[in-house]
Amino acid sequence: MNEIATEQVLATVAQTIREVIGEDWALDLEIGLETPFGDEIELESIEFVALGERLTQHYGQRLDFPGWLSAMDLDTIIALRVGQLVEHIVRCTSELATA
Amino acid sequence: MHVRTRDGLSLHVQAFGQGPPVVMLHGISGNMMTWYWIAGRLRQRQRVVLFDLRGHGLSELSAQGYGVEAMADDLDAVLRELVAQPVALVGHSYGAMIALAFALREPARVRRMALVEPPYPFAARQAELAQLDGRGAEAVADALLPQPLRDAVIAGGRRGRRFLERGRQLVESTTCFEECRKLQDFPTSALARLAPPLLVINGSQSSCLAGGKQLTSIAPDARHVELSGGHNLPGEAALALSEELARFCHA
Repeated sequence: MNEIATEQVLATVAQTIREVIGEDWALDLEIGLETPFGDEIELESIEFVALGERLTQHYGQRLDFPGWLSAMDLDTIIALRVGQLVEHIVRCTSELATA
Repeated sequence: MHVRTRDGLSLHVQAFGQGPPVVMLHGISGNMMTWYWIAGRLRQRQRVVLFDLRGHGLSELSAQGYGVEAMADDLDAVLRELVAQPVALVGHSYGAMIALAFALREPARVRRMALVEPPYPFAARQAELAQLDGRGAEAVADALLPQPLRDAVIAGGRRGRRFLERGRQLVESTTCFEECRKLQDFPTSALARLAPPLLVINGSQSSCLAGGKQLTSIAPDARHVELSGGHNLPGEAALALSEELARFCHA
């Protein structure tokens, strides 16, 4: 993965997660590529949808959030890490750049 | 995306995919995430519309309007805004009953309908709920919640805490449960004239199974499918359910 792109996307994703949570404790929360969506962040299911919407607003329809999610099996989704979402966004955005 | 209901409430909506339209409704205490993964699987051949029922997900909370006919009005608002042709409806649990209410009222606007674990008849489900009266929140949670949510509540983490807060809000700030407890079943004569083709899907371990088979036998153009699982089929049998629904919606 392009390292600069990854860092930038991670920063955006992490900030968006904090905004979606919208609680004070989240401001200090460290979110990295290895951070699981499950254990520490514990987003509600509807917050995960909201995250997808905000990131789609930011990166455009090319994100295909529902398509990305449904291509994974449910066990993978339960164990999802922030880095997997970042990887997907980097892939979508770099494909458009080279198209 | 948001759609306004007739009484001015804001409903959170998402739409994606291409093809004939299908609207998917979740049940009480759920949200559009109930169907999100399955919707992703349908989107290449269907235009899928998902929305959060009033008082749920990112839709606005209202004090009342949770009866099945009022919720069918909300569905009507979504359809008027986003769907210009006869639509396929897919509902889970209470969402299935909302879809059914709408189809009985406006059969010409419903192309076909899949009811996943409809709590039919209401009378049987109301009797079940009455048995939980006074037994405390833990007993209710144990009886009603799907396993992952039950685990989250017991674990006491953020997800469980937020779910309980939402539930408390629904109970204390709205007439949702009062309205559900007063629901009258659709007349059998009306069900016997139900026009759109119907698919009823139940989990083989669900207490709604017998009612689902009964509903199938009353409706004139209906088929029943049993999948391995309980009441929360979208969570427990997502792949099998997505395949059944893909076949049905594409017919």
